[in-house]
Amino acid sequence: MQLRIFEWFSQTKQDGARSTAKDRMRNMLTHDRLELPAGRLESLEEELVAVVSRYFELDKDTTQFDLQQYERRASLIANFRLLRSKC
Amino acid sequence: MSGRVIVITSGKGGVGKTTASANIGVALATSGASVALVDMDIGLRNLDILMGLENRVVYNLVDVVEERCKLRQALVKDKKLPNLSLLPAAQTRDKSAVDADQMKALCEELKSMYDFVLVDSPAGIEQGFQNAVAGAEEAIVITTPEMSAVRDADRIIGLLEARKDEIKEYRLVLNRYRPTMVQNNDMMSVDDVLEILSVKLLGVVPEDEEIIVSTNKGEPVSGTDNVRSGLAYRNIAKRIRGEEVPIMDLEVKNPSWMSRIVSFFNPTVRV
Amino acid sequence: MSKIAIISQPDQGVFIDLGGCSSLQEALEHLSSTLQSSNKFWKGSRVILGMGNIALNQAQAAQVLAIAKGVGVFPEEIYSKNEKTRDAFSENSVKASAVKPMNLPKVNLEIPKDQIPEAEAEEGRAAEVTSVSVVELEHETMEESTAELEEKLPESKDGTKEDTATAIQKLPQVLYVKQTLRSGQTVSHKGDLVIVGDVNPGAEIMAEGDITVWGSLRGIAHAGIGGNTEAEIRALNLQPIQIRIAHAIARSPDRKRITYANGTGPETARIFEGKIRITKNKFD
Repeated sequence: MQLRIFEWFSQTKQDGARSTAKDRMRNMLTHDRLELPAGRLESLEEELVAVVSRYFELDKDTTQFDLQQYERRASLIANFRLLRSKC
Repeated sequence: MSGRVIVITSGKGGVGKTTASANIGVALATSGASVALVDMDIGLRNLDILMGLENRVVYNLVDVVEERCKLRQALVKDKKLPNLSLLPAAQTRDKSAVDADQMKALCEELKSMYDFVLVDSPAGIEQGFQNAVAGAEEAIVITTPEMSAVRDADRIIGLLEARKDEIKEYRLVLNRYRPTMVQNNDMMSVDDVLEILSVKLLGVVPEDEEIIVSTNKGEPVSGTDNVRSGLAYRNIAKRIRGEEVPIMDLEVKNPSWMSRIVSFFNPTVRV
Repeated sequence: MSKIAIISQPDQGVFIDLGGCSSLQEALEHLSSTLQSSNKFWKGSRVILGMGNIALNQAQAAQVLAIAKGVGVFPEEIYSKNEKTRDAFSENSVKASAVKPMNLPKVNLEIPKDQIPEAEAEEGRAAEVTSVSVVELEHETMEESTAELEEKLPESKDGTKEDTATAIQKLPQVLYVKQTLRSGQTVSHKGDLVIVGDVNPGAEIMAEGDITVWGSLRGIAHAGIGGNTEAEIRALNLQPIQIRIAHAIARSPDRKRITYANGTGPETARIFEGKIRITKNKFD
């Protein structure tokens, strides 16, 4: 009953199956379109970190990798926080 | 005359591809255009049943391709619409009975006879699909708002894009749409699906029990007035012909205070 | 295989047709050997003897009657295309006729009004089904197709034993299929075809001769492929999407959708006046 009252006042569920589906869908399709096998992206990220680390000292905790879709085209956005040059 | 060859495809089976083919065909023919419906689901033909023409089928597409009959002999005229004909698939053969070149030649011939040639593709992405697409210049991709169907539609769109030189345009029909579920955040919305697939929308067809009734009768809903799904298909036909028709308002109106109170005390009443 | 056809028709008796034999000697041989080996199911019923084209004099006619009596057949009437033969039998005081007495399968083709089930009486199953030519088919004329068929049938001119043997070998065989045929399956056969099981919608069966379905026929059946207009299609439950005999095509009524209930009871489809008609088989 409590839940129904809550739903009644909030009118719509915020975390419905809809948003879950959308997120899963996006992720799945990105991999599908690139024909990307599982784990492939992770090994790329590791290698990228290794390469950048040869030139810079990195703040590894804030390193970010993001696979994005725009108009059925995917782009990989990598974000490295550089602390200092290694040379 | 040179008509337009449009392939109707989905990837996933069971999303209403054949129903859509029948209804779009009937809607186009009702609007005055001459239409040939081609069933390419060789071995699993069903379009004849949806059209209520299964008892009139004498020759089929494979008979035409293998030159056992003339094209005109194999075309089955619709019971109500004289400008609508069906070219049935063979039921007792398999997909390898026709190849892409034969399909191209067939579409060329049909194009010279009809304003629209609608090709109902089989499910899947294998040879059957490749053959169905072979003669087409446009495509309609059918999907439902379910994840598996959207994923397969995406695969099909990818394959259509790879045929850029032949397929000039492809648009999406979102079938079995349930506005109440979307409003309750239980199902992906039209915009969600379009955003994910980045594809042009041709139409949205609401989930409708009348579809089952019409299948049993062998009379596609787009030929009947006062049926929501039928109206949706007629709008799709208008958009195919180049008319600007707004997408049907499927939003469920905000329930009144009164009905919300009723539903609060009696959950079985849907608002 | 015998060259004698025995056709039994309730109310009308038994017709023993020797017309397939080409000589008197052959007719006599077949008459005695076939009739002796079969149980005398015609006892008590009216028997008619068919002599086809065979020419007989009075003595020969008497010989035929004697052999028939020897195996318990007492012909009431004979049928012959040959005038001399008819006279010969008349002289032996047996009624002779030039008109085939039981013109099967053309007997009993019109469904009497009272045999049509109530519900279907107005638009009539038979009426609907008989409105043939489904699409614009290039129909060959009936005469042409029958002529073609006669050419193909084996002929033994002098009726010698070897000739008969080869003729028998050439005669179509019967194919038994003991299984239900499902959508997409086809069976085609040069002779007669018997299906022991159902023929489901989407299945297709074809035969140069007759088709018999010991079960429900709901798919497509094509008998008399090659132009045999005498071919028949019969089934315990005849509810086909479409039937074809020789070059004629009949489809099921439009309003009627595929149903799995309500059997029709045994029925036979055959060509009558160029159209396919369905007759209820009555066994009483």
